[in-house]
Amino acid sequence: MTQINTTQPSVYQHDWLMRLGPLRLRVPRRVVTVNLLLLIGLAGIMLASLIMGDFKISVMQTVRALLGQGEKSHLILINEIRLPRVITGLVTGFGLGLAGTMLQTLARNRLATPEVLGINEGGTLAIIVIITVSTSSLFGLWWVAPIGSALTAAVLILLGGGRVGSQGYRLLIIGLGLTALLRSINELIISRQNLMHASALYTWTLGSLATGNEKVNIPVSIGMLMILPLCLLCTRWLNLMRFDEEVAIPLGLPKRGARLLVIVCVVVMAGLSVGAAGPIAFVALAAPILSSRLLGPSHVPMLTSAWTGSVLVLTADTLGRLIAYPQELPVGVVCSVLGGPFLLWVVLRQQVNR
Amino acid sequence: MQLNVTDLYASYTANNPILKGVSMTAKPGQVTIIVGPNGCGKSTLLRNIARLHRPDSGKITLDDQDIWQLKPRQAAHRLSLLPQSPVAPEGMTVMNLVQFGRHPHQGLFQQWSDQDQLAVTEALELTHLSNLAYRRLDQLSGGQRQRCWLAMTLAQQTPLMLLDEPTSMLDLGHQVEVLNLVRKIASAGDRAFVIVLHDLIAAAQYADQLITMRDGKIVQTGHPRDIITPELIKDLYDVDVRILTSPDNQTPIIVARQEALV
Repeated sequence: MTQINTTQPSVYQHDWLMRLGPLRLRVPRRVVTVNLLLLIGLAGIMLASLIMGDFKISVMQTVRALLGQGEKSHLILINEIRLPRVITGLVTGFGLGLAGTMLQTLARNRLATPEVLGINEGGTLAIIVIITVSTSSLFGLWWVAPIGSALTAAVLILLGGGRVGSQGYRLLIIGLGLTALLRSINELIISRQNLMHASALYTWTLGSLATGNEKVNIPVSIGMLMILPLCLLCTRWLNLMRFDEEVAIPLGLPKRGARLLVIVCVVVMAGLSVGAAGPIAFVALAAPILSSRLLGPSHVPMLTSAWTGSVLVLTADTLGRLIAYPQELPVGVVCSVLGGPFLLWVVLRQQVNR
Repeated sequence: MQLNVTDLYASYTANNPILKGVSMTAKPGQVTIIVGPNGCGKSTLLRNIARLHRPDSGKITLDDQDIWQLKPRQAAHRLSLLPQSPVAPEGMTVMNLVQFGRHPHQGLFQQWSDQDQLAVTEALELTHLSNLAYRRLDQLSGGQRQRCWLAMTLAQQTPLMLLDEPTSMLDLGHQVEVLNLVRKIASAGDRAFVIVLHDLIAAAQYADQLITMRDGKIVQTGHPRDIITPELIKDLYDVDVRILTSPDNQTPIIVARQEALV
């Protein structure tokens, strides 16, 4: 075996290589650092979110309550009232961040996110329709959203003839049309409701963590954990999908199969997120962009984008509670406000790069 | 690994065939160069072999195995393609790109082997890119970037290499460098090259086998010394030429006649 000369350019300068039995894992140092910092940030914002509120409670008391110690009132406050909301934010951001990075990569366009292509809006419509025809409450219906998202994705693929188009523009244009259509149907249905019902529905269609509770969190988390391995299985293909077909296919990309699996993963992830907290804007757009800035261009951010999504949702939710105190702004509103300028920046940057 | 193409028909739109019954072979250790006027189907032929476009009929085999029966990954172990003017994701370095050549040799849990490292190091050295390895691609010249893509396909270490106009972006010096490199690798004997080239003089100089095409059909196949005649060039390009001989190795040099230039 030829010796590897360490003065030559080599991946060992930036990456750790781990041998675990037959496994050969390669971990770029940057990935470790970025993810570590993100997880610390995530823990910080979760804790901040738990502490904040009308009832004053200290950091130590909060941590103790999380560990199941301390006063009973603290235990109830933290574990049964505040924690579910934080968990909802965590899983929603996770799903949106992951779905966003996968869809942007598939379409090869930063603007192609579940919210822009109508996948979120489709999930929303499904929930609104079921609620209005069955008069059931908002809470038990998390599973309806992925179905709506899947139907929307099917229509999207059908209208696009299975093609993504140059730089994803075909998909993007059809998606924009579809989003507008679905949104108008949503608004039409809401406008037909009585005022109280309508206002509750409306708040939900903006995206809000206020309805977060265990009955939703547990099944949504389980669903996400089940689809997560499939998402990670797509990572290698997604890395190739950033190239033209002329490059990707000779490098072994199974085009049709890979696209299909990515879309299934996106639909489930985005749909479950919508089911948990409504269609929160901006996160699926921003998390992949921010995380790939952190990670660098060598690969598509997956879990990094997911954590970034969680941090964004929880930060926006915490801000929403701070800004309008003692009332609160739904997380979706905060995200929309932040998302506008961000979207503009992305669009302008794409034009400059062309 | 021998490539056999038999009676290939291909089209992009119905009733408008681009390839009309093309047959060819490429052997290990040989450089096969395809030339012909614009729109003659040479790039389409390459796209068919690279599995980017499915032919209407006919057969493409590698050692008697139909390439369209292979799994994408198996195919990527056997053939690689250097496309025309490829684009890399924003911000990538030379090293990032060349590593992608190893993609088909890796897996979810086989992310980097010594073999991968050797292949990348070798590809960088062959293309004289070792000292540029950590530079960003968008900071390199067109010629350097083209060499990076060549390095990526080399790192893939496939027995069949397809190059679509690999020298079109390059100045004379880099053109010669790339084609010399191809010759050198081919003469090691285990890889077959199929190259689409515009430059007739370079084609005549570097090909072991020259394939000339026009209107989706092969006009002539053979060693450049044996087949290049003024009549052939007239058939291909409708141009009157004279054929000179290189003083170095007796390969033909094609020069357009004065009348043709007026």
